[in-house]
Amino acid sequence: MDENTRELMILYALDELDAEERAYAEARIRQNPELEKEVERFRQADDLLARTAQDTPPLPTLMTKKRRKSLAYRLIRDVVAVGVVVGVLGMFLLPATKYARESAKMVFSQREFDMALCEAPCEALVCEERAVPNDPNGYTPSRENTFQSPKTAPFSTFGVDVDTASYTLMRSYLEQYPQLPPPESVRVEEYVNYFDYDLPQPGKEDACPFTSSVEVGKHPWIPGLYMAKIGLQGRKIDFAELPPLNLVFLIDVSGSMDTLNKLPLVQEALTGLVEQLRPQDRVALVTYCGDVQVRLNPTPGTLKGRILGKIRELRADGSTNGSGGIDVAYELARKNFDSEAINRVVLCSDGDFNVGTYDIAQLEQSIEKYAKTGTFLTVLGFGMGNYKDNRMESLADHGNGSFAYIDTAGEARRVLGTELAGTMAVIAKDVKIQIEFNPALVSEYRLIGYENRVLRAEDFHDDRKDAGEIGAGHRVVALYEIVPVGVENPLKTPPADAPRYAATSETPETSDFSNELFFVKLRWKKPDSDTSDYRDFPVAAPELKPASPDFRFAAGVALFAEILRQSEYTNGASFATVEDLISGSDSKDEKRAEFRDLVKKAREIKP
Amino acid sequence: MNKPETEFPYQDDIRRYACRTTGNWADAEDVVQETALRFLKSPPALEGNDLRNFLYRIARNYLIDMFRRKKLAKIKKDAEGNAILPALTDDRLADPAQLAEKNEDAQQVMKLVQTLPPQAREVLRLRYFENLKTRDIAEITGMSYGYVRKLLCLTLGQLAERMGGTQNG
Repeated sequence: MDENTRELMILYALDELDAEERAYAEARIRQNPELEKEVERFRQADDLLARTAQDTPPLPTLMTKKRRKSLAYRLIRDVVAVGVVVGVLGMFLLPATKYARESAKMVFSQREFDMALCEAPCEALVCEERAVPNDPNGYTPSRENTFQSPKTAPFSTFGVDVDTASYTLMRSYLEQYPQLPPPESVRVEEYVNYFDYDLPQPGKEDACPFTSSVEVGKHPWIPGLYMAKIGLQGRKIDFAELPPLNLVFLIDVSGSMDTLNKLPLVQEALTGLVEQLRPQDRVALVTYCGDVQVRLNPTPGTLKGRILGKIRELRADGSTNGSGGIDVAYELARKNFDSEAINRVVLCSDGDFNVGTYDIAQLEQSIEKYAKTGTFLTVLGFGMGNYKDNRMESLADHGNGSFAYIDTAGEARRVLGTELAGTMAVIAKDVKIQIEFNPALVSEYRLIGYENRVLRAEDFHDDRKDAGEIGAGHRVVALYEIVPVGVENPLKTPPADAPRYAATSETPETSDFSNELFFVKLRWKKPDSDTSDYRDFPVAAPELKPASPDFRFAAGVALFAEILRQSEYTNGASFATVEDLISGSDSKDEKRAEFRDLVKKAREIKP
Repeated sequence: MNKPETEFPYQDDIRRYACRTTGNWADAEDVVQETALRFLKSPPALEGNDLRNFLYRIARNYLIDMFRRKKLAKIKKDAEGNAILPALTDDRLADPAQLAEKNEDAQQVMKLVQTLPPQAREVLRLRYFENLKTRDIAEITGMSYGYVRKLLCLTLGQLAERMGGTQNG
C-alpha cells in the first residue's frame, strides 16, 4: 500500500473525507477488498485514542471540572437573577451595570497591555467567502444540433475535437457515486473519440499527417435513415521519436486542490510522466495559489530524482490566482523556447480561479496570444465538487491545446503514459471539416455532437479562424444522421416554411453529381505553419448494407451519450439499444470492455 | 472570590481546553478571563462553529504568550512560522498514578504520543480531547487543512502499526 492510499484509508476510517473523496475511497476499496482490513485497523486505533482521551480527566488536581462547573453555574444563576431584577426595576440601574463593566475592564488593563505586546494572529481568522453558484461544476450546456435541410443549409462546418474529458467525467460519476452524469456535462464527440477505431493508418511518407475515411450505412436504430461516419486518423509517433520536450507544469496548489483525488493524483500523473523522460527533455514546475512560485527551473530528463523530489514536495494551501500563474509559466516556456522542440505548458487544476479580478475573456485572449508564438497548452482537469469544466475546456481551446480530465491513476497513466506522444505532439492544427450535402439525395441531415465546435460556412476557408488540433495517434470521428429524399423523418420537428422567393427550379438535375450523397472538404495546418492545406473528396450514395461492427460501436457510444444528455433525437432508444449496438465489437479492447461495464451500470441506475 | 464573572459562549469548552493545556487551575482561569475580556471588548460578528474557533484561537494565542512569558517551554515554530503549543498534556497523561488503572493499551498510546512531533500532539489533543473537527483544528491552529490531515494520518498510521505489532508479538 503506497503512502497516498494509506492516507486515504486512514482518513476514510476517521470519517474525515468529504462526499467526493469518500466516493473515491469506496471505489478504491471495492477494487481492492484487502483495504477493508486496513480501514478496520485504523478504526481501532482511532477508537483507542478516543477511549484514552475519555478516561483522562482534564486536571490532575482534586478540583474536577464538574465541581468547578457547578460553582460557575451558581454564579451564572446569580447573575441571571440579577439581570432579571434589573429588567424589572427599569432603566435607573443601567448606569450602575455600566460602571461594573468599566471596572472589570480596569482590572484587566494590565493583562490587555501584555496581550498587545504579543503579536498573536487572532485577527487572521477571516473566512474565505466564495459565491456558490447553483451548479458548482460549471458546465456550459450546449444546444443540440438540429436537422438541417441541404436546401437551406447545404454546408455543415465544424472544427475537430480530440478531447476526452467529458467521457472520463462520466466514468467517474458512474463508478464513484454511482449516478448518471449531469446532462449538460455530456459532449457526444468526446465520448466517441475516446475509443480507437479501425481506421486506415497514414503511411510514413504521406504528405497529409492523417487519413480520412467515410463509411455510410443504415442508421443503426432508426429505420429508413442513413448514418455516415467520417473518420480521421492521425499518424502514430512513438515517444522515442518525438522531438525534445520543453514542458512547464503549472500546478494549482490552492486550497481547493487539497483533496485526495486532486493534488495526490496530480503528483502521481506527473511522476509517471517524469519516469519516461529522455535526456533531451526539459521540465519546469510552477505552482500557484495566493502567489506564483517557480519550484523548479527547466531541468533535463537526466535529473529525474531532482524533478521527482520537487513533485513530492507539493502541498495544497491558500487561495487561487490562476491568471498570474499562467503568465509566469508561459514566460518560462518562452525563455527556453526551442523551435525544434515541443513547447508546452501543462496546466493541472480544478479550474477554480477564485482570487482577484480576473476576466475569463482576458485570460483566454492572452492564452491565444501565447499559442500563436508556438507554445501550446495542455489542460488536465482534476476532482469534482467545484471543478470548472467549461472554463478548463475553453482555456485549452484558446491555447491550441488538449484537455483531459483525470479521474483515476489509470487515466493519469493513459494520458501521460501510453498516450503521452498524442498528448504532447500535435501533427495537424486548426483542422476543419466541411460537408456539403446533395439536396437531390438528402432531404435532411444532422451532425451528432460537436455543438461547441460548429463553425460558420465561411470560416472554413478563413485561416485566421481557430479550430481543433489532432495529436499523434489521435482520431476524430464524426457521425451524421441522414434522411434520404423520399423518407419520412420520424424525428422531424415542424419544418420552417419553404422559402417563398426561392427559384422553383433551383436543384439543377446535373447528372454529374446525381449519385453523390455528400462532398467532404478538409482543411488543416502543419503545426508550424500559418497557411492551411486542403483536400476534398465526394462520397457516393451507399448500397444499403448494415453498418460494420466498428461503425455500430461508434453509433452505440454516440447513442449512449445522447441518452445521457437527454437528447430529443434518440427516437426512444434506450441503454438496451446501446448494449445491442456495442455487443458485436472487439471484446479484447480494454476501453471497449470498460465501456460495456459502464453501460451496464448506467442501465442499473436508470433501467 | 470577588473577581467579576464574565460570561461568554463556549466558556466551558475554553476552560476545559485551558485546563488540559496548562495543567493547573490558576493558569487555566487566567486564559478563560483573558478570552472573555477579548471577546467582550469587541465581539466578532460570528456564530456557531466560527465563533467557537475564534474563541479557541484567542485562548491558544494567549496560551502561547503565557508559555513564552513563563518560559515553561520553548516555543517551536512549524514550517509556516506558526507557533506550536508545547504538549503539556502528555507529561501528565504519562503520570503512572493516572494510568495505574488504565489498561496497557492506553499506556502504549501515551508512550507513542510522546514520540510524536509537537504539531501532531496538538492536533491529537484538539481532536480527541476537545472533539474538534479537522477543519476547525486547521482554523484554530493556523495550520493548513491538508497539513492537519497529514498529521492525523501520521499518528494513526503509527498507532495502527504499534497495535499490529503487539498483536503479533
